[in-house]
Amino acid sequence: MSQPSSSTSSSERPLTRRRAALIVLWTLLGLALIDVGVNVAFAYPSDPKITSVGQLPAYFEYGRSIEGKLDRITRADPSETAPITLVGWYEPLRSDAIGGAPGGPMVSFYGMSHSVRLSQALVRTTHRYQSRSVGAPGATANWAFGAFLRDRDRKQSKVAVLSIMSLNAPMVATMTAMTWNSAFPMPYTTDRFVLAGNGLRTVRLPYESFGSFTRLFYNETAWAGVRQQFERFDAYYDTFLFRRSILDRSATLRLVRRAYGLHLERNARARVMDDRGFHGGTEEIRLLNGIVRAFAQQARSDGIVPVIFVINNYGYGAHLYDALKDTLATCEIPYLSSHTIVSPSDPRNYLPDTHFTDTNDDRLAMALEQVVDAQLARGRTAFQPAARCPPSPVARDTAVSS
Amino acid sequence: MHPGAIPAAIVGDPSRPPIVKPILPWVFLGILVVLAIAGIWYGIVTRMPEHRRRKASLLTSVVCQLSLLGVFKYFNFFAETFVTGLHGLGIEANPVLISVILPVGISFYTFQSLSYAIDIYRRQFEPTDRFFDFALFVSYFPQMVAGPIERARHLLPEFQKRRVITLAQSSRGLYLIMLGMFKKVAIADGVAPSVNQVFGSTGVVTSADVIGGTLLFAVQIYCDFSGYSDIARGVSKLFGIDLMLNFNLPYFAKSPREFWRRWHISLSTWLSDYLYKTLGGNRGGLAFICRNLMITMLLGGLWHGAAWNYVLWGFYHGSLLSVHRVWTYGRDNAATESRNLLLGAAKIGFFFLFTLYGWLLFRANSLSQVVDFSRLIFTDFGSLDYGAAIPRLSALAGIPVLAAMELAEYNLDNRYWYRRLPLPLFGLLCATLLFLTLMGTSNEPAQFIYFQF
Repeated sequence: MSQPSSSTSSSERPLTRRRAALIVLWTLLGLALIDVGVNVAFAYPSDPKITSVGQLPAYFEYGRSIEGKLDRITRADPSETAPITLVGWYEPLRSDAIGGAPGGPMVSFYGMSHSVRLSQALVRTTHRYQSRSVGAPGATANWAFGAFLRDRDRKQSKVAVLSIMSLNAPMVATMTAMTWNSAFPMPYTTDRFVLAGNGLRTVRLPYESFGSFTRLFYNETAWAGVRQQFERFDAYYDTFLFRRSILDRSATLRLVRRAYGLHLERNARARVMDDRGFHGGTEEIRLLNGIVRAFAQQARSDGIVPVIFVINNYGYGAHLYDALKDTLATCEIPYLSSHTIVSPSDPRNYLPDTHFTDTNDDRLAMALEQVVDAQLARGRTAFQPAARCPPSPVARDTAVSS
Repeated sequence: MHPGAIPAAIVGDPSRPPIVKPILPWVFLGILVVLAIAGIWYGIVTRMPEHRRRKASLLTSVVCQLSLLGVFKYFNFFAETFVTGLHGLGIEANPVLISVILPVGISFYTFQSLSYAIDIYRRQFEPTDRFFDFALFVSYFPQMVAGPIERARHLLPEFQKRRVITLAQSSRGLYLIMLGMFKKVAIADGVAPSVNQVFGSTGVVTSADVIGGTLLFAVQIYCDFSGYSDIARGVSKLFGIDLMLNFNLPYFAKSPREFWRRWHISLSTWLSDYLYKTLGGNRGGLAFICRNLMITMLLGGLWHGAAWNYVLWGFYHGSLLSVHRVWTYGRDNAATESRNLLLGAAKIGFFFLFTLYGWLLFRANSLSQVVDFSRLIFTDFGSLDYGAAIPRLSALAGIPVLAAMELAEYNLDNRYWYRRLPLPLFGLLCATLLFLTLMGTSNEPAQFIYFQF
């Protein structure tokens, strides 16, 4: 082949304004055709009970507004709604008895799936402890602490383990798993803690159960009030991502919204951390430290040994531990940081879904057992707050409570 | 000249540490100013009659410019290599290293500025007295950080002529921007995670991973780099400025010689004009030509970065060119050009395998990775399990679309093939590119690969 020519052939017509306008029109028409084609070919199932959705329908659904997605998956009748809408609620707070040695000391876990897996691994690797788990999918540190505070059975435990992970550490300043997880919103709510002097102030939404959520969600005026709370207190709330609109009908515009959502998420994450670690001065990291301190104080005052499980996700190094280590040391809070057992830079230590492999869960559980053994052997001194650790009271903001 | 062009061109990498960020743009600006002054001074001096002064001036200009490039880009590399060599001889030494961020686009604007000096010396171009035109030539923002490496004899007249922006030129510009965005956002960024996973892996990598990762890197680097060039050319067209073609269906090359006529054309012609021909070019025997090819490609490899794998990549391509030159020496290339489609396709496929191996050398993170990966695909061909990430959907859908477009361009032998399409079909093509680009906007954005050079 010769070098390609840059000449135009006789079959090409010169570009006139009319021709340019026609090209634009045909392009728009083409986009409309593709849009309709995608909506028809990769239609998302309307039945919320269908959980195995194809990859392509899910892909083109990511950019639907959060309210639009909730519309699709939520039904007022719990037997008809999507299972994901029923999990993670504070009311009723669900705890799972994992098992273990009957009559053995109880270890309660609060957190996300990593936390549940560790509770299961503890039962697998030791026969001396009982294990129970209070969890929600993707639970943030504020959810876990809120669950601990609400757990009426916590005083039966000898040890309480609060799980915090680097992946969602920046989401500690949110009120619900809708806002920070716009691709797969889950309607459950979380306590929003706000720094107040040495302690924390709690801001609560006017609903904490699935039933009250659906009542509010289907009441336009009441839901508008909830949105206002999100706007005011939730760091991840964004009107364009959240509110349902006619844009939801277009596959093309859903792609735009998805890109926008990811852009916001990257920015929010970048505000809190970079390749070198978490930024200690940000509200999120100060909140995490405040939650750790308040959790330890509350547990100790209840006669429970507090343990912080620091989950360093793949690619995050020991950044989360670094962000918390001063508080852990000053307040003498027992902890298990995964980086001491599982290298966060080796992908072989993790499953494709970001969890640790079963083997590593077992190794972590054995390390946790050592931490717990050491604390219980110390007896009452394990429950005494460290002298250097300032008191961290938790006050409740009644302005937004139900 | 656009007054905003120079400041816009000196913006560095925003992800750098904040302590040095406020200072470095001024350092970068200083480099540009020094380059501009050196260039303009040389232009004035060369008008004087003395032959020796001309040569001395050229030497001054070349040395100044290459010194800047050497300090910023190669100082640490050569210092470390020197100390490693001393260690090999049993002599203990600590290298003196400089801690400095590589100025964005320094390789590109240094070569561009060098071409100005050499063209004037060769009397191929009249020097300009207009400082701001020359400064704009050095720092013209669309192409400053990743090319095309323009020649002064082409670009300066583009700035100086009275520009008329036509509808045809603007629409071509918009099409190029759309095409470039499609290549970069939908495809290059869509395959990048898979490539990074293979070449960044600290775990077990199979033969299939290496082959898949290298193949995807071939796609990534082409779409990333040619996508940038398309955008630069498209943006320039909106200003009424024509930049040179930088890529011309490189993966349709049937030989190394043809590949370098199609890949990074502005660099390969620069190397040919200012290095290969200066070394003597084809004026000599076969061994002399091969020597010149090897030197040119070794330095061309080193131009890409201060690392041994780039030198190895240059050596590899120099070897391919030399072997090809020996193979075709004394033959009439036009006469041997086959019109057989199957044979042509086979030649393209055969040479593409050589290109692929070159990309493995280019992308490898270390020489030990080159050795490990080469062993996996040549001698230790074990597992066929592909464990790396599957490319993003935008790339999976975009690659066949791009391949079909390039095949049409190749077969029709016309860069503007799409103008022959009926309007509805062309509209559908544009809509497809836009839709796939929008799909790609969800990919993790990655910096243009050639920004690091």
